[in-house]
Amino acid sequence: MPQLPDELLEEIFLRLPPDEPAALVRASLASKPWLALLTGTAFRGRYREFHGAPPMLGFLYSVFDVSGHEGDPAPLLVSTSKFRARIPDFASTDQDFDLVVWDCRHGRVLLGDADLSSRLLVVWDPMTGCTRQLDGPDDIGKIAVLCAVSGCDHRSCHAGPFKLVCVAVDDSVDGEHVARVCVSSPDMGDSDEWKEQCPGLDVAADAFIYDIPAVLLHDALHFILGYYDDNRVGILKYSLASDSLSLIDVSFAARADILMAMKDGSLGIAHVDSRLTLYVWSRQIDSNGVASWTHGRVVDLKNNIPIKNPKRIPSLIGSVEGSDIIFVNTGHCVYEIDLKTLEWKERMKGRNFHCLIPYMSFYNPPERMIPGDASR
Amino acid sequence: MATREAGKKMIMLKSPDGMEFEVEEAVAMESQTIRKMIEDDCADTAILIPNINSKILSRVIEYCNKHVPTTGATGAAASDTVAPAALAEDLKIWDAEFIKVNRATRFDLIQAASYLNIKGLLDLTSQTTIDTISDNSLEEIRSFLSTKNDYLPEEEQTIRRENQWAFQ
Repeated sequence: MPQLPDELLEEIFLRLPPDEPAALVRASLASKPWLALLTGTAFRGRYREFHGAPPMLGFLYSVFDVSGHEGDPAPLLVSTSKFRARIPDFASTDQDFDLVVWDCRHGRVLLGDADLSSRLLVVWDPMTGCTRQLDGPDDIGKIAVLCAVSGCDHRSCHAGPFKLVCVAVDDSVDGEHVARVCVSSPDMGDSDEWKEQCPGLDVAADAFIYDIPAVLLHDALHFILGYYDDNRVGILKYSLASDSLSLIDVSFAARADILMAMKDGSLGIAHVDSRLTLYVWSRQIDSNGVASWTHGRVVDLKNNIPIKNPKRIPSLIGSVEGSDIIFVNTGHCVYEIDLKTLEWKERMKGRNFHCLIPYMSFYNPPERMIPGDASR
Repeated sequence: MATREAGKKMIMLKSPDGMEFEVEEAVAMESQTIRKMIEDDCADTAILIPNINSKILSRVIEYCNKHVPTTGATGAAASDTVAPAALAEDLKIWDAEFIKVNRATRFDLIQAASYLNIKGLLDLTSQTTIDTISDNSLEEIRSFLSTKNDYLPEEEQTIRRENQWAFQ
């Protein structure tokens, strides 16, 4: 049988698809030298370099009717590959703690208590099964989890230090409504303390933050702001780089279902109207740094995905940061749609989904793939 | 030696088994290795391509001829008349035909693409190889890698148990 030199075999294995890591795991178990090579830092680094952005290995979701999930010992990570998350013993956390998924980014999942009866938060790394518990801030608003290391390419940082950013609208002082940010980065030498950041930003009295995960784009977290009185929407931006809060006007948009961090680097805003048409606007920044919204895509969903009940308006329940991929809930199914190519995949059956949050990561073999093997 | 034919600069490539191939400079420069030789003025006489026999070298030249940008083998500025998408589709079909070779030839092509540094050909040959082995069992992968299973039976058991998901 013809043979190739090892460096060319390595070249070939670089091309194993990252969204189905099973083949690479099998190959690395062929023998001890191959285990050392394919799980070694040099090959892993080349592999991630070759493929760029981490693939989606699965997704997490939250549902509207939380009571239906009572008794679930663990939140589910639904695999879109053969990858199986390492699930720690959540049941031992706290008897009254009904874990739901709040956010997922850079290989970490943030879990909180469904009815906010506890301030306890859990950060879980599905690759290693490690968890970290910490107390949430006094005023639990919307919390985002992300890697705490600046300059990181986020291709393999899932086990490194993380930070939590909480944004909430504070109305504790009569007549004042102020958006405030606090941050906890427990692994960066600080204690578990939540630290208040930049000065708060005055917002309208009827403003509230949407109960969906924030979108990270260019070192800034973006939240949708809703207004009870007139159904307007806005975007609340927290820049991690400059530690500042600001509002982005989207008065042109009647509605906003989700925000997107789009492939071209622009911020996107999307919604579906009663004619089942999907609208996407994107915020382009010109060479002078001036931002303007452009009407991007219009997609007639009826003609693109199976819709059983045209009277029910599909909802947008999530997106993949750094791509043009969104998740649409039609009422009987969740579809993943690539807005560039309009290719779609069925991701899940069911109807009660509130949010779908992708789990994006390269498969990194756990430290001890072979228990008891001291040679590694 | 470098000659001119119909306004195009020609390059002579020589295989170790003594065959000579006269190719357009632009075609030869699809190989980054040859490009560097030409740019460093090391290509005045015929370029000897070591380790690549004439059969494989002629196939490599065939690939480069097809993939050289804008002016193809016909000499027509293809991209002016054909839509880029259609051109890419055409190339894809051509590639699929081109790579229908036996394993030994494919491996020779991989080595040639690697030595000559032709990214497209390395991608094509490597991807085709990986597509054929990605569903293989551990035993088949071992045979492909010509590596011997050096785990103790209990170690192998542990591996399979700990990484069960990858074997389902």
